[in-house]
Amino acid sequence: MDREPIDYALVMRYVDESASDEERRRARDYLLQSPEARAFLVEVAGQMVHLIDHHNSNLPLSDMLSGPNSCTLQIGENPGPVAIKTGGPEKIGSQGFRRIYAATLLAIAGLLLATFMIFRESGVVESPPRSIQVTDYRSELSVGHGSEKLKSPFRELPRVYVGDSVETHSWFSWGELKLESGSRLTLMVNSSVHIRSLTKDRLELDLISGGVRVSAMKDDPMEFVVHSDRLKVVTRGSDTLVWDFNFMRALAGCYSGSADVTGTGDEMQKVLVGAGEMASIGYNEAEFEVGPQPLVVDRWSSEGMNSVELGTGLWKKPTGPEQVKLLAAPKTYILNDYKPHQIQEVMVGVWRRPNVVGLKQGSRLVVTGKYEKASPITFSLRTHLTFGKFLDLFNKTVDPAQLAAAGQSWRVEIPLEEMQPVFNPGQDPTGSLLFNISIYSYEAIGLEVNSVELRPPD
Amino acid sequence: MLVRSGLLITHDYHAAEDIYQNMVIKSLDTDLTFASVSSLLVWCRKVVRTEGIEWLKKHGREIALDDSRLLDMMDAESMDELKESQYFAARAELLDDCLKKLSSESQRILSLRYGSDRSCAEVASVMEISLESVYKRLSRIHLALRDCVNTKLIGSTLREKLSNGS
Repeated sequence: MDREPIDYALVMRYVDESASDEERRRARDYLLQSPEARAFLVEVAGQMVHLIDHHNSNLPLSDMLSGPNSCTLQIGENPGPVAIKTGGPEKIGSQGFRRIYAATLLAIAGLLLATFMIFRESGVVESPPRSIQVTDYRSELSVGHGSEKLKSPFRELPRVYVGDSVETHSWFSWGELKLESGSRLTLMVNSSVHIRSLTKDRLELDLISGGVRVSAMKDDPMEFVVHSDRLKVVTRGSDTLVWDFNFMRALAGCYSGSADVTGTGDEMQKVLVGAGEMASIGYNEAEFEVGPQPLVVDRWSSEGMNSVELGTGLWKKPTGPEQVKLLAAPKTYILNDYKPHQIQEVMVGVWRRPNVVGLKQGSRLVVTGKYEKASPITFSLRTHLTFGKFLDLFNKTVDPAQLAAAGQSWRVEIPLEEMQPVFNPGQDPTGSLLFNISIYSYEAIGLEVNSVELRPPD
Repeated sequence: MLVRSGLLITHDYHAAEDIYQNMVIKSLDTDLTFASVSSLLVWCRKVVRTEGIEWLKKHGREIALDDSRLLDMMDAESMDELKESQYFAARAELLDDCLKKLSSESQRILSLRYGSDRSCAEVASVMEISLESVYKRLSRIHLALRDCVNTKLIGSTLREKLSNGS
């Protein structure tokens, strides 16, 4: 009678970590029935370990067994409490097997000794490199390296490994990655990062372009290191700590209210954040210095928009006598709920050397613009307590009834007293320094901003 | 061999490595003396299995009774611990030779699956083939490697016997 052919492909499902429970159950049921399949599974698992080891060590196992390091170890000199004593070699018939046996014992003794030494010296055993799970994305995202990049849409959300790059390719795309510790990275629009190294304790990234946000979980011991062409930023998890990195400047915002940092090359700050944790931003890995405090003025205007630093949005060149248009662009926005929110935003940078704008009792924000669809608009001021130290965001959302009909120009004037703190209830913006102004909506409404102004008290 | 056992329990290579390392630490923390390497390896395998099940529990993964049954069966069918380690050590060298003889396409799929540590679904996505094709191709490659190693092993045993004059 013919025997059933062995379903080897089904066995492969059993050792595929991405197989569903149902698939694995089916494979397991089959394995329970078939001794041949079980023998094949043992063979495959053995080959897998060899292949992964081979890749990790970049050396054939045979080289490892007979290499110079293992030759220095002698059986019986293992310092650990496990005494390996046996008359085993005499039972082996052939010279070849004796060599293999000796090599195996050497390997075991070597591993025990090496692990013992590492454990003794540092108390920590280095784990193999980990991967990071992509948990969510929008639009165009690619993951991987060289010609082996995975591009969205994915059959299943991919994992990111050391050596891989992660890229978003448009103003509409973003990606969210989750570490084993629960901390998250959010890759902003048009951004690219390269994973330089990843261990249980440390993640090192190269920020090639755009921005990445680290949302570190409380008590996460992971150290995050972000290198860019101008900055190197090192931080650790802390209480509600959220860091932004941008390749043109670093924005490190601790939304618990203790610190905020911004710098553009020569404007570097060193701050203490969170629960006594040290975070640093270094220019080209050098120690940075606190710069001189800028001169405080009480007025800022976007007049002459050509020179406005546009954080988010698209600048549209005027074609006639009409005003300059700043068009809202999508942005991933993370609040202290650690969840990314998509907004349509125009954000202008106000903080510019040599002056900085100070907020006073009676200061007013005046904005003109229009939209294609009437919708609530949020006006937001990002403030610093002193140069380099974040205070809070102060927001006011204005209903369309107070603005204008769709397609019509509107003008809004908001007294500082009407703006509410986002993170720290009761916070007063009076006396703080204005870092940037953001105008945004939660849906795409064709938002256009024509002028932004901070007026001093009358 | 012990990493392989961990792999069969957890289906996760990194977890298997961690379990192996924990097992080594445990062995150093425990004041045990083994009469033979075989008994040491039996103890190690038991520790790996216990740790593997703990790992599954910790990660909320399914632990079916049938998994334990399968492991029991495989343990019962496996060779003596010492012989098994010798068997795999002997095959390792030959496996390296056999790997070089694979086609570039087969080497690529192995590199993606085990070198880049990608799941079969990710390999399918990169190679733009179906998931079922990945399973089939991988199983064919493993079979080819097994056959290649077996052939070489028989050849080398024969040569050894001939050189010993037996």
